[in-house]
Amino acid sequence: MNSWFDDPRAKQGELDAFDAERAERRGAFADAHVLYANAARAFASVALSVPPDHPNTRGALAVAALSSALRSGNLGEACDLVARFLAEPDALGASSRIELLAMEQSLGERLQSRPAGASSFSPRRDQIVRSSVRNSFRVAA
Amino acid sequence: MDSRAAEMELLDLGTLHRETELHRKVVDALALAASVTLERVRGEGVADPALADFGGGIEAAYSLTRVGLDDGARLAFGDADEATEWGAAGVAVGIVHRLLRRRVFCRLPKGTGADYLMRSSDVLAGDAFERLEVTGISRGDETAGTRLREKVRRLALHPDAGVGWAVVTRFHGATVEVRGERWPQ
Repeated sequence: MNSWFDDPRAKQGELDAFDAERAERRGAFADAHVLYANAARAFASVALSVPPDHPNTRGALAVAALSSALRSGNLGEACDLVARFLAEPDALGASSRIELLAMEQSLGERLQSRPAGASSFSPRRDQIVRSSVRNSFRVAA
Repeated sequence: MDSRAAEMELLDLGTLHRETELHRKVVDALALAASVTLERVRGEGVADPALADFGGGIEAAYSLTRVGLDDGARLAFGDADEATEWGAAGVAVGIVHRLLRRRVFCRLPKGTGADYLMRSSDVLAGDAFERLEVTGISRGDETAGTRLREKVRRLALHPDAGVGWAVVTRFHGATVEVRGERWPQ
């Protein structure tokens, strides 16, 4: 396939996400979280290097990165990633953009449901929550 | 002799990495999971007959050659549901290459709009690809057709993502049954 999917970082992300799912199945959740976090970073580093003239490639890798970040439980990193990817919406394929917006909304809900006093993850947390609420109204309209 | 058996094409799970661009370790694990599942539901053996039918006359018969197993492999895929899921993916990756001339090049993490991404074997670069949804059945009465409809519905949930194929492998029965359907038809 194209050079971004062939990038060793994307291949490593693929393997880490696969191993994470296997770890999850056998109940090794701490291992799974670490592997998902590694996968998120690997996919994200490649996704962010894909130029806008390959929106489907950039979008697929971005969705893989955000999904992995969410599954790692590192919501701060997920906040950062979704904000970076959606900052250039035209560089994403339509379906990936929709998927990222849905994930952003789910992330906002997870952040809102966290108990007060939980560690603050990211300066972008409030932005994500506001954005996800805005998106939910946009969808409803 | 059954004419289909005479035309049976060899699909060796031991060389599954030649059919795909997935990470080698992922492919090898899928091949192992398929072999463990085949042994569990069909007994000891070296190869199993498989019929693939993707509709519209796209069909073929295969002899699925298993990977040699040891106790470590059996233990690694001791969870039958997990082995069935990964094993079905392994069979699908090989069959779509042979039958549809598609090469699976990326496995996506859970929670995304597809299980795998694939491209036409003739296209070496570019930004166009298709989705692949895979699933397996290795016990019970559920038919491949029922499961296939369920997976096609999943593809339809993301209409903007473009063309996708759903592939179901049913390991038990007279032959291994592999059914596929394109979305949209």
